[in-house]
Amino acid sequence: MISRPAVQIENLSVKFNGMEILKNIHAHIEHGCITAIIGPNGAGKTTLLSALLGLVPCSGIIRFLNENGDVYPPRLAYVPQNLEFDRQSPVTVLDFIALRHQKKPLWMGLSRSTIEASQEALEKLKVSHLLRKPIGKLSGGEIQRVLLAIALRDNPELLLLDEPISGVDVAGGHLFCDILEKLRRQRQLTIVMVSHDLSVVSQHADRVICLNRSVVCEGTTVEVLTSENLFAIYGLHAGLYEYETKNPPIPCDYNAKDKTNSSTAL
Amino acid sequence: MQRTKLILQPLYKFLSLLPFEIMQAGFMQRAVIVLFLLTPLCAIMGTLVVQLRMAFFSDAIAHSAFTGVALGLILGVDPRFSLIFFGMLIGIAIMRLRRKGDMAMDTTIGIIFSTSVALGLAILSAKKGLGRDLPGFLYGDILAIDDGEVVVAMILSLIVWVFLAFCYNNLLFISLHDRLARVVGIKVDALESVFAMVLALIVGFSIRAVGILLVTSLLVIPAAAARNVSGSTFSLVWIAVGLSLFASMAGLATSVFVDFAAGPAIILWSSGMFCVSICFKKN
Repeated sequence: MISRPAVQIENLSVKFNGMEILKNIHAHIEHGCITAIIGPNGAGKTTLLSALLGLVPCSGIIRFLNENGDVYPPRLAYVPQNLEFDRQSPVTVLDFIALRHQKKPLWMGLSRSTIEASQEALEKLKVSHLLRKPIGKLSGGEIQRVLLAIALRDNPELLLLDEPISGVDVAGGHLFCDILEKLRRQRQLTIVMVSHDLSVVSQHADRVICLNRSVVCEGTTVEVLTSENLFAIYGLHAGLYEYETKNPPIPCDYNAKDKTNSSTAL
Repeated sequence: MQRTKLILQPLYKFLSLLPFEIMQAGFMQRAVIVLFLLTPLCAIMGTLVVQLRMAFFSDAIAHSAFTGVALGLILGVDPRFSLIFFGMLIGIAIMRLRRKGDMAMDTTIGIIFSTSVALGLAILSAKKGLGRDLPGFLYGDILAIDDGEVVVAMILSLIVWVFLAFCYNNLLFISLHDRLARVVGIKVDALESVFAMVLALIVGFSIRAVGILLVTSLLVIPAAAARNVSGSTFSLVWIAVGLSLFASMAGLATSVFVDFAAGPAIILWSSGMFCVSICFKKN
């Protein structure tokens, strides 16, 4: 497999109030791959994501590279862990999407084009039935799919997700990750996902960065998720059982155009 | 003064055509105009205040009027303006402290709230005679509004409508996810500061209508009632506007016919509608 870095991180450090949250991070994220960032609580996973998003001051270098290896500013999209809102709020999914789609204030009504574009965005993730539903009434899994639909509307090149399946049930979590895999295949999207769920990581990620304030190890899922590494990161004797699957993992330099059995386009 | 009268004359004439004898009175015409200008804006701003969980914040700005009034009286500045200016300063101070400090928002507000009230009361108690103007600000008096204040209300409402036209969507987005808002390019800190200033402006002026003690209710209650019965942001805003206009007119009528203070009457009507809205709660 040819390694084509989409992001190169060199000597990255982040300090908050004099405390070093991330120290000398060296890592890279490959094009068209799902890269999972794992590590114990307080390891700096979300901080690393924030640094990639440019939300925290940091020292060191973060280089975004296009397919030719040239530095460029990619279109970034972000899917947060959850929304921080009052569940009683009457803001609907349509309102939420419209907030970014139309310049006209929501209290002046929604334009036809906004409604159609929102419907279309949700249809791609098979959640168009949620269009008029208040977001406070959605389940954790539904919120994540809506957030993903919103993130995809800007046609991003790099998608960053912060623990997208925490608080989502097992089936919902795998369904969400299946969607991510489809996206990765069909759009050649580079995906970075912070996750605590090692079974999901082992099944859906192509590469893993193990973090504990600095990079403990990085590589392919098989290389990284070993008992030794898991012990080094979490301090527990842990291992992952392999199981047979009808859908063997697809390498991340997979080309969507060559795929013959791809399902609905996302 | 003559020019002010000239601007307002057509409005006064229109209101005098209404089939109520009381509408021939100038104080009533001015009160109706100011309430029509002010209460819908308070209601829309209120939807953001509730969504951003800033009710306590607006209360802090309102109570900072104690110091604003005291400073105005000492410095020989019209206290109606000094309280607005001081409220804006307090709003900015809270926002900056919240961003820089490690304290929770309510703790930050609590400290500034108490300090500004204490400072105002200390100044007023030290300077004998200053306190006699305070009750007017504590309880407000919409029927004592003059022509100049009507014009100020018009300018103020123009500013707030423009602000709401350009910033409502982004502020609502911030209320849903602050970090996501930053990622999509919204200048969260700057926008929150501007919101704090506009809120201070509208709270400061509304104190003339309902007083320091009740001004937050003018923002919060119509929005809270509308949340109970609305199914989208559009309906939330316009139901809140409708409820606030109804409460203000009903409150004004109550104050005239039952000889009741107008400010409390308006708030009591709003509270009554909030209670009714609970029976029709959607969410």
